[in-house]
Amino acid sequence: MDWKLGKVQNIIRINSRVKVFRISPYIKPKKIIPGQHYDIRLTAEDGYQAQRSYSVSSSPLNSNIIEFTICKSEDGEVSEYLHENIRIGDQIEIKGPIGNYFNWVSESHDNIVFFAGGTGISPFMSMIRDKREKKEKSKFTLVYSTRKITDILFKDELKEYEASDPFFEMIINLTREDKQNWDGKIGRLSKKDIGKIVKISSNNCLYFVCGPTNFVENISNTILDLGIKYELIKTERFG
Amino acid sequence: MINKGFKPKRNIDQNKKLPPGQYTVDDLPILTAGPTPKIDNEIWNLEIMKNDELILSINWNDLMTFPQSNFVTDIHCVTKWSIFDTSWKGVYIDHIIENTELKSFNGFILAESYGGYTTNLPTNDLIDKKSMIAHTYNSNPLEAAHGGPARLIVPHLYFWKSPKWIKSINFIDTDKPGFWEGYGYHMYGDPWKEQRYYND
Repeated sequence: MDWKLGKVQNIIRINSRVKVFRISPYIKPKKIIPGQHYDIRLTAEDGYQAQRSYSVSSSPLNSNIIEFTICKSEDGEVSEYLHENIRIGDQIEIKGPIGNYFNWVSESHDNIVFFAGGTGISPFMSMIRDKREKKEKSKFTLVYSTRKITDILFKDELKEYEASDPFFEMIINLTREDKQNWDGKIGRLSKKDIGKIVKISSNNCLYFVCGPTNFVENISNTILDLGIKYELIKTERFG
Repeated sequence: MINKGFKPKRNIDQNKKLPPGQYTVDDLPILTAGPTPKIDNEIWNLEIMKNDELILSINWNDLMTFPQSNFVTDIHCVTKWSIFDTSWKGVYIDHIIENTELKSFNGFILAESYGGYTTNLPTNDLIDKKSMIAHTYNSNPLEAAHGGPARLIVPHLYFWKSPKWIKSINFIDTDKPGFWEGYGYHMYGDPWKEQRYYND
């Protein structure tokens, strides 16, 4: 698979740690499947190169603009450069779309449950936007765990969509918010919390879990303990 | 294409070689396509097969009767991280197949994990102390999240070729893709040739 050039069309600051980068590839991909990722490569003047993988968060129906939701990692040389140095109009090397496993395919299951930890929501945004645009009737339940209110990505878009589609439900869980600011669940998701969600979903249900390693380990192993078949749980971990 | 102002953030050990596109980490990350199956040593069993026919069945006690070796090696994950000088202990595949007809088998293997994950590789990449059934990592029993109680390690290839929770190794005449290979990853996976995806 070859590296190709893309042009940065837009950069949107979501909060102090997260930015959305909209990149237009010079060669349009034939097809993007929700959940796929791209590799982004940076090259220094001395030839040193670094590359990282980032999930596509935009709708796959518009392959002219590919959106990546990228958290600035403290130790991350690629994410830091993207956050601090990349400007609108810059060119960047990309390779993709990649990955045919952590994908949602229309009408594959009646129920889809997503567990997102932090920027683990990124591939799910592509799936949710795809469903919204296709007016797909599969029931989506998004369980979104993040630190504080200011860390809830795409909050308005998701709330608006939830209000408009009876087949989309969102449960937000904040791990570090003050009680006076949030009337929903605060703290880590317990086995009981996860059990309620697993119980309400029907047999024909696929589970996606994406986020930091500890989050994914906790959620996926709990779902497994609750009796869900191994092959119905798809995971994607950060590092 | 040069990205103006971009420079390495990490200190690069000039004495160590890193395959293209990789960066170093200090601890072994956990990357798996699904949850972590919990397999007790008492339940763990490794089946060695030839074209689906059972040749050898090895339980935990059997594994401990084989010669135990230490294996210090660099590992490289297709998701771009590498770790230098990881320390493993276990049994070289050479010892396991030594007294079987598989010793001279020249073909491929399809290795399967508890949980159903599979991966393929040529038998040449398994022998001559190039791979082992590892049960110890950095002097500690291999944690379940990292593939314990035992995983196959084939460290000269990308680490997805080193299946966790190893359950069976099927020696086969004709190569066939495993889990990630079937989802678009490379059939061989040499990190030095950057064989990440099927057409690399």
